[in-house]
Amino acid sequence: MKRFLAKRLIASIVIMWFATVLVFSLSRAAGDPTFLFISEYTTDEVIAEWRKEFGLDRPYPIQYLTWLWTAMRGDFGASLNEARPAIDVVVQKVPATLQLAGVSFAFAIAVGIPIGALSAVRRGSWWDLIGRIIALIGQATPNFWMGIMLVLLFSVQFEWLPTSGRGGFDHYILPAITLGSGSAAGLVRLTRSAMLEMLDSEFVKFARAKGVSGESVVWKHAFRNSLIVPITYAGLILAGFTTGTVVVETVFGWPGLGRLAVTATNDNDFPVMSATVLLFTLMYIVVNFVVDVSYAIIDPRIRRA
Amino acid sequence: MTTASIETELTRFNGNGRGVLGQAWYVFRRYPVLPAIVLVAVAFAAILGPYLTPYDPQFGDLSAQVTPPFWNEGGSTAHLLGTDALGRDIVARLLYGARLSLTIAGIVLITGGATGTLLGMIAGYFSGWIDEAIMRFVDLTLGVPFILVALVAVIVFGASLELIIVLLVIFSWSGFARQVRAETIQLKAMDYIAYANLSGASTVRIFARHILPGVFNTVLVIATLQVGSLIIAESSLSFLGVGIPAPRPAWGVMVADGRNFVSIAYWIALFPGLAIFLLSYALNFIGDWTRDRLDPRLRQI
Repeated sequence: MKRFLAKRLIASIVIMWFATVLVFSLSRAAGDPTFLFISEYTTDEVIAEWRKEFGLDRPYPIQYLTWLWTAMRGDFGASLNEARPAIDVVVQKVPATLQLAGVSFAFAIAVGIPIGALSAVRRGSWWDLIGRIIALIGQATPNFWMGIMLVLLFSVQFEWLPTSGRGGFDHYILPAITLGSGSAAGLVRLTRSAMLEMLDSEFVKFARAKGVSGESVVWKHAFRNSLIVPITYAGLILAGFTTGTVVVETVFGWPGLGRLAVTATNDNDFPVMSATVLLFTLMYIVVNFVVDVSYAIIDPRIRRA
Repeated sequence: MTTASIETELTRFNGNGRGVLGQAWYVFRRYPVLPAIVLVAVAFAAILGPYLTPYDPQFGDLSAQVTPPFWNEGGSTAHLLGTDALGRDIVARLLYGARLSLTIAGIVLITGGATGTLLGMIAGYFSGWIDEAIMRFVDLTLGVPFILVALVAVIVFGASLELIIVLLVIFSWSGFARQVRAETIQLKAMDYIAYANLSGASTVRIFARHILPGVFNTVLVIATLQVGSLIIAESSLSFLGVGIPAPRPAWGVMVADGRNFVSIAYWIALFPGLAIFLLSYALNFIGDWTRDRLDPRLRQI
């Protein structure tokens, strides 16, 4: 287990380091930052002075290390759009995104796992049909369009739910459904096939032969054992949310990290953008690490592989 | 089971002895008929687009702004699905958009598929540090959130058709590399590869003649499974305004155009989104079907 943990930890650190190199290279590929401050009266000497002051006359590896050092202390420079540190702008948006992701995750689990299991137990029933429809719609519908269509239906047509913004519980419903639909679809499919496989397995047949009642075999034996598949999928769900939040927050005007990333892109606000990317990557890595470790605790075979 | 009942089972299984309707239903259940129709229709639109509509997809008729579809009040058959806020015909834009979507998906799949397959074969065949290096690189590209890298790249290079293709290739090659590597490792242990080696075949020849045909089914399956999500990824980026730049009739851009008008003109956003949905549904379905046909072992992915 220690070896497994160490290996995973090193892999996570390497990915984080790769992300910093990527962001740094892109920031330099964007061109010399001093060009932002140049006017037609700026002399070459002044430019040279600036470059020296910002350390831009030094070789790239040195520049990278100084950049990394300041970035690690949370200093990404001032936001070009709002006159305050980029990191403050970014951190302020974190709670909104985490709340939306949490509600969407709960929605996906609450819908996906029961419907997936029921559609396997009652094959060919209404549950099976509902499961198929969710799987079909959730996987093939682009998030942004689903969000707009839900607004059209429930906000514009019926006027039941708010169109956008963050607020009471009713504000969460449409964004959470939009963000969670793809994962719910994946969960339905996975739970269904895992459950079908379990119901057909030797030990379930044996329990039946032993005389365990039908309901008890299904829920205590088959269902419990088929849960391991959707648990591994949890990491992928949260990974999918990084893409999803950017789109869904834009559609619903949700004041979180995803929308910030898009507005910062449109404003060319590079300091905010680099802080956002690194923060997202960090969250992504932490989630994957936690999922991997908890999975290794549940299933000893993974540790040894 | 008696011989007779086995025979009836067999005829039922083969779909014989059911009458015309029964046969049709059988074909419908067994083959992806509906998805195939959708796909053929989109391909048809992509190839023949310009001949199917008199309108220009990028320049609208400002006197016909926001015309509803023909079945709504105020609509006319001149613009079957209506027009957008700049008076551009929705049908025309959908047709040209099909060409754009399919071209991008095709270029990305061929480039990404070829890169991923080659690197996967190299990693699997040579093992050792080459393998480690390639696979760690795969982990890295999968470990960084794609859409954010795309956004940063757009700040740096500006949105363009070329950039989106490059980004999608980066997004797609790693899936090929992983699976092809696993297959190559299995093939490498086969006797016929050892014989080829012994009889003096060059590495290039072994790759081209002996390994590539062996992994080709897998590559085909991954390509068909990936193409649906590629279409969605492309349209999402276009929707966010960082994909295909504006006047071009990308479906994602069309949905974005319709977003602000959704309360007064539902059709601007509805139809392009429906087109994305239908195309990605058809591709997903055909992908699943191809996988079950060619290589059911790939079910986990």
